[in-house]
Amino acid sequence: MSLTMRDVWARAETGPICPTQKFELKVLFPEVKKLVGKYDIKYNPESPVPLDDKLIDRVFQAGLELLTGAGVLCTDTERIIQFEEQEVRDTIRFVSGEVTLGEGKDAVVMAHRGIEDRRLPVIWGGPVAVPVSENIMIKAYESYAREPSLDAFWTGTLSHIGSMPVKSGSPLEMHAEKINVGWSREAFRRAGRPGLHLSGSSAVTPRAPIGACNPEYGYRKSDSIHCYMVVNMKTDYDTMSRAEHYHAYGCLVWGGGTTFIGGLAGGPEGAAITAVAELLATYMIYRADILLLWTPTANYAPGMASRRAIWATSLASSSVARNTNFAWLNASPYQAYAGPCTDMYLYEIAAPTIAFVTCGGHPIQGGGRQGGELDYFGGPLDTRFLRDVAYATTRLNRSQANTIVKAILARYEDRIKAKDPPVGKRFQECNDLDTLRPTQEYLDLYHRVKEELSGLGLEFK
Amino acid sequence: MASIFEEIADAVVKAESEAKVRGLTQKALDEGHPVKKILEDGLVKGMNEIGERWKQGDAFIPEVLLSAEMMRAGIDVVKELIIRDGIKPLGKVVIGTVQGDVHSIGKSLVGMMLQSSGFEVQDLGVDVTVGKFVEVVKAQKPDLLALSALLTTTMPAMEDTIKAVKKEGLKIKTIIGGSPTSQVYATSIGADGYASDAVSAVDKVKELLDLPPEIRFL
Repeated sequence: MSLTMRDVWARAETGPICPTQKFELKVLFPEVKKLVGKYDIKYNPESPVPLDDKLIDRVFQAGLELLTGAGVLCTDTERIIQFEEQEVRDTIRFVSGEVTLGEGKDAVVMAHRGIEDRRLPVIWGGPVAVPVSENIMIKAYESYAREPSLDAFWTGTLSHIGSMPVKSGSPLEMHAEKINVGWSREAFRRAGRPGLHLSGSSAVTPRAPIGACNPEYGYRKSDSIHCYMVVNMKTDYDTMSRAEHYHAYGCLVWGGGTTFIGGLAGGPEGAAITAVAELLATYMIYRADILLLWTPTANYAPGMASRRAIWATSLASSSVARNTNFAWLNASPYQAYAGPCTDMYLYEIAAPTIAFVTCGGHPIQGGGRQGGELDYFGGPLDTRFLRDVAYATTRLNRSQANTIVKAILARYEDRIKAKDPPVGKRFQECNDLDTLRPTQEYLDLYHRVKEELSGLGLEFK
Repeated sequence: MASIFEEIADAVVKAESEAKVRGLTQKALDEGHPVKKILEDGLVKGMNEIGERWKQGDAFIPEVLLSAEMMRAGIDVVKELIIRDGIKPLGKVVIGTVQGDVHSIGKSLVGMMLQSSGFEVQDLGVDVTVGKFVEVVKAQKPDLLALSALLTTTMPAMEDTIKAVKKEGLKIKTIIGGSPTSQVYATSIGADGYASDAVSAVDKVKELLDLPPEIRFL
């Protein structure tokens, strides 16, 4: 029997009571450990791109059993929302496998991709939640919208309005959400792409994006707004209420997991199956139209492009590609560890993109220089590089992709381990603010790194 | 054969059951061992070992949190004796996640690592208002205030809190942490310190309070 969102809401009121910490330590973590052992899932640093279909299918089954075995805790009621395996299978059977992003001539279709799929992925880009200065925001957004390789845009975060910091829960947060969406739309209009897909609410409280659902000045029905899981395998009434409103309004719901390696899911093996379980949960609970699969690393390898992160995300993606009809995104990466306009930054984009596109994902890339620092995103050349690498990847098989990914990892992973990434440059230093084109320095670097990748076997056309 | 202290440390690391840690701690007391030795060579040693494994990537947050529960169970057994013997904490720390932010794992981990290193820790939880921080700091007079945020839009509440505490004329060191924060940001908002993870947070707190790195309990 397939479930509706209302069925899930009822279970949040009637499921077994479980305090949050007990759920995390006595329910979720033991279940993850048990399933990692039961399905013999072992981290293999030599295979950041998974080659073993039996392992891939075991990861999917383990993820499904994690969802049905542990359930999802509703933190408001402290009750576990439980699912039966057949209910999950019956519900995800109705996934259409494709979604239209944007409108009019700017619309693109994001479809389910399989492993080694020759079809081109949809290219998502933008500052992606990086804090952006108010005085460059429209110009920065326009520079992305002008870039023909960009299919869907993800906004940055407006950090200040005037001298006032945008604080979560304040009226300024609601105001900033409307400004961010409004300026995105103005930037798209200036670039001649008024129907470009917009995503990326950075507000913490639900009332800000809900208040910005308005076709005249805010989110359109062809845009998407997020509903994340609460770390890990948890949800709350705020997020379920967001989903209710977005569906009622008619826009797309973007569902994100929150698994990270070294956290409540344990190591890369546990993170891989938890990522699958959370992806299924975002559909079961929020009916997400677009899903995100990612497993960034925690303390010992910062960033989203470490070997462990690529291994876990690729494995989870492959398992979803083989066992569902979902269309999903992979963070390639949301935020790099290095700053823009450095070779490491471009390597951090290339390695996960090659892995994830091979494993069925659509790539999304944001900025760099983790640490919440202002304006650390490279602009449209980042997106062009992402597109070039992603498209070239569709001509690779898994084995070739694995070899190239390892060669790229060798160029930067020591700098991750040393926690000494290059600082790089801000948007204003990577681009000419009058012409909105990349600087010659960044263009030269882009060509040099592409030549290096060609030497490793990636064929650009 | 393992000593009673090694057994206690091992029970904290393996985190099989609180009853086992309580039983071993009581056994050590019954055998006449000093409380300070039970703490340092047993309970805290086990906690430090799991912390070190976590730092190396060989253990994960749930395991650290479970070990912290074991250590707390053992400390419950010797609590009255700690007071009787005059064993003092290294300092008092108030910790919390700032207003608007409900992320708790990193903050809890830092609190537990500080506790296992000999600090008295008062954890105010998540979504803590500026007013609540000021009220507790005024009443409790801790040596250090530790603030956590995981979102760029909740980071400003760190600055508000630090400013409010300073405005009250309260002499207290401050430290911040959380994924979007950095040393640059800490300096810009007037925080005394920044730590990127729970283990380095302990070292930084000791440095800020002028304590030698190797010290445990006074």
